[in-house]
Amino acid sequence: MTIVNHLNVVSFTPTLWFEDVEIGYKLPPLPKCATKQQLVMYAGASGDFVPIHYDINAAKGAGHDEVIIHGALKSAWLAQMVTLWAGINSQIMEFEVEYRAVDFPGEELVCQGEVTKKFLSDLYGVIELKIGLFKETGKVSTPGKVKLALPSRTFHKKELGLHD
Amino acid sequence: MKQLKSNFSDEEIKAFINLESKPVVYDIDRNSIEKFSRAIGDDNPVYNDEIFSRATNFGTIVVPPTFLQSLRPSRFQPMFPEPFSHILDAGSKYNFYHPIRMGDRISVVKKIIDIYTKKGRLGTMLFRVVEVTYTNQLKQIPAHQINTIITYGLGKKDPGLYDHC
Repeated sequence: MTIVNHLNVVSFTPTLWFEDVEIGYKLPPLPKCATKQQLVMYAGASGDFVPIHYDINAAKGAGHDEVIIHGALKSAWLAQMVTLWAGINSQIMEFEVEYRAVDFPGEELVCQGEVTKKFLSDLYGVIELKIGLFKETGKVSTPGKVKLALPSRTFHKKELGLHD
Repeated sequence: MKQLKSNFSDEEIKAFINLESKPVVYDIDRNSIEKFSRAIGDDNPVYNDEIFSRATNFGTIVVPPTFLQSLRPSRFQPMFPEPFSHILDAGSKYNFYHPIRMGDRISVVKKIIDIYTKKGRLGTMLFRVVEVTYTNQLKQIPAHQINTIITYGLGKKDPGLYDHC
C-alpha cells in the first residue's frame, strides 16, 4: 500500500522488526498464474530467448505439453513474496532456488514461505526462511532458502541513545 | 579452442573450470528497471516511483533482487564448445552485499567454477556451475550469482544456447 500526500511523505509496509518475527511464522502466500503474454514480456525484459518459453513446437520437442515458465521468473515471484512481507527496511542477504519441476502458463501456483531460524548479528537481526512455489496438487516445483536482514530494536535503541 | 564431442571425458571437461567471460557493462536506467518489474508483476514502488523511493533508506529507485538476471554476461573467451543442443536452468543462488540503484554502472563477468556430468532421464546431462560477479562504478561487488545450467541431447541447437557458451 502506497500513500503519497502533498508533502511527499510516503509510507509503504510499516517496518518489520526482527523481534516481531517468530520461528514457524508463515508468510502471507502470494498466488501467481502466468499468461503466455507474461512469458514473452519476461523473455524481452530478461533477455532469455530460449524458445521453450514461447514456442510450442520447441516446448514439445523438449518433451513438454505446453511452453514452460522461465525458472528465473518463478524466482522473481518468490523474491517478491519475501520483499512484500519484509518491507523496505529489510535486505535479502542470500537467496537460493532450485528449479525441480516445470510449471505452465494457466496453472494456479502459489508462493509460500516459513521462518526457520533467527539470530542477532552485529548490527541487525537475521532470519532464515524456507520458500517454495507450489502447484495446486501441493507439490513444490521450486524450493528455496532465504537469509534476510531485518532491523532490530536492540540496535535501534542504542542508535537513538535510549535505554530499556 | 578444442572441439568437444558428446562422448567427452571427465578430464576434457574439467579443463574448462576457470574459463571466464570478458566484462560487459550495463547502465542501470529507470526504463529497464520498470520494464523488468512490470514483466515479473511486481508493482512495489521502490522499483518504479522516484518520489516514494527518495524517502527510503536507498534514496532512489532500486532493482528487484532477480533483476540481475537481465544483466547478461557476454560469452566465454574463447567460447565454450557446447557439445549438446538443449538447455535447462537448474537454479541460482544469489548473495547480496550492496543495493543496486538506478544510475549505477554495473560490470558483469561470469566464470565456470565447476563442471560435471550425470546420467538421467534425458541421457547424459552436462552441469555447468557458473559464478557471475557484478561490480559497480565504486568497484564494490553488490552481488554474486551462482547459476547451474544443464545441457543435454543432440540435434538442432536451441536458439539462445550459445548465450550460455
